[in-house]
Amino acid sequence: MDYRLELLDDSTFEDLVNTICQKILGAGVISFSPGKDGGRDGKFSGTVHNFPNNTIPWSGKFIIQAKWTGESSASCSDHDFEKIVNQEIPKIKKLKDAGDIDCYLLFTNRKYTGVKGEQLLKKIVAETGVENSVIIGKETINNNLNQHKEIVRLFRLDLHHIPFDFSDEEIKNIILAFKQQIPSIESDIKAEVDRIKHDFSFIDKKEKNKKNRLGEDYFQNEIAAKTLMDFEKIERFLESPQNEEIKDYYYDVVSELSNQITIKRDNFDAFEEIFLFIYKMICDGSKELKGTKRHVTTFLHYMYYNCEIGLKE
Amino acid sequence: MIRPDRHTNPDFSVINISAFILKQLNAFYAVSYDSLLKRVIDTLGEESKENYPYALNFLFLLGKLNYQQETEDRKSVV
Repeated sequence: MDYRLELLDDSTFEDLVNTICQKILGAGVISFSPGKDGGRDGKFSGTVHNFPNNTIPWSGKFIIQAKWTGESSASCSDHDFEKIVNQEIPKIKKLKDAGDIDCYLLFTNRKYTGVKGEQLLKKIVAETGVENSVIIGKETINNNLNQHKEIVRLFRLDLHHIPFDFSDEEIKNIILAFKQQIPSIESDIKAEVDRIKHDFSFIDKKEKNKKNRLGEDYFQNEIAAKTLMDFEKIERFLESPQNEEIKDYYYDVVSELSNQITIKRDNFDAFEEIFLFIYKMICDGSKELKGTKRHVTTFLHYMYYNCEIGLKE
Repeated sequence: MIRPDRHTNPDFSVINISAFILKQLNAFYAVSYDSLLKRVIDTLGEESKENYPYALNFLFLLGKLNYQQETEDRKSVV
């Protein structure tokens, strides 16, 4: 499960990291309050049992640093992150000279890339002398969260939607972003687009949820409670004759998504996992959706609710 | 354009606007482009403006109206 850590903020991410560290290092993790922290968001002293493994666990003075980004597609290969690491190195050196650090943990919600990520880690070790250093990217953070669902609930990471005003411009941008990310429609499935366009049938939602293995909790708490209120805006947008061209793009998108869901259905268990998969597919490749990525889920819910994706029979 | 789809609003559809235009032309026989447009918007709503030209084209293709260039009036032929 990929938790949308980019929807948090700096301070909350730091708290999250320290909470995770309490699980992986020990209860003695101390958090630092916001402000000049000298390269520290948290610290721990002692011997851990299972970190980084239970054969040669680390011990001593641990320094924890959390670096948050609001970009879902950010990675450790980005120039920004290299700049951040370069800024942290002198602080770590200072701590090393003062004897205040034995182990350094840098957490980030960026993707940890094998080549560049390892290069940066080697740079930290080489320039600071702190042998026991690690950069922990979002993949490892997500794994830790999957193993500690109580942290997910504590930080409400299981909520996928934050209500926000949803303008026509945002609706248009989202449809265009979907269109850009989805491969061009082949002419032989134009017939499929036409079929979807003129299929006026709907299905009872309870029945649909059962056929598609969408959890009742998810439907009630995410779709009915949060995104349903925005469906009318999307409906009015698509009904407006001025948006005829965008509506055609919308049908192309729906047709292609419907195909992909059918092909890949067995790769997923609950349908809500498909929503997340498509969300990542659309958002990770799009710079245009900055600030409106939360509405991609709204759109997916709308398509599902409107019986344009998901099984009807 | 003519055939409705899942997201067609019937009020602003070419068919509905065409039906309204025909009623107007039956009542008034000849009417200017702009007057007719104003009546369409006043009755059906601002959004109907977009499909107004398509509705006229549709009726023209069906032989239900003529265009008089001298007076720029729309004349109905029944």
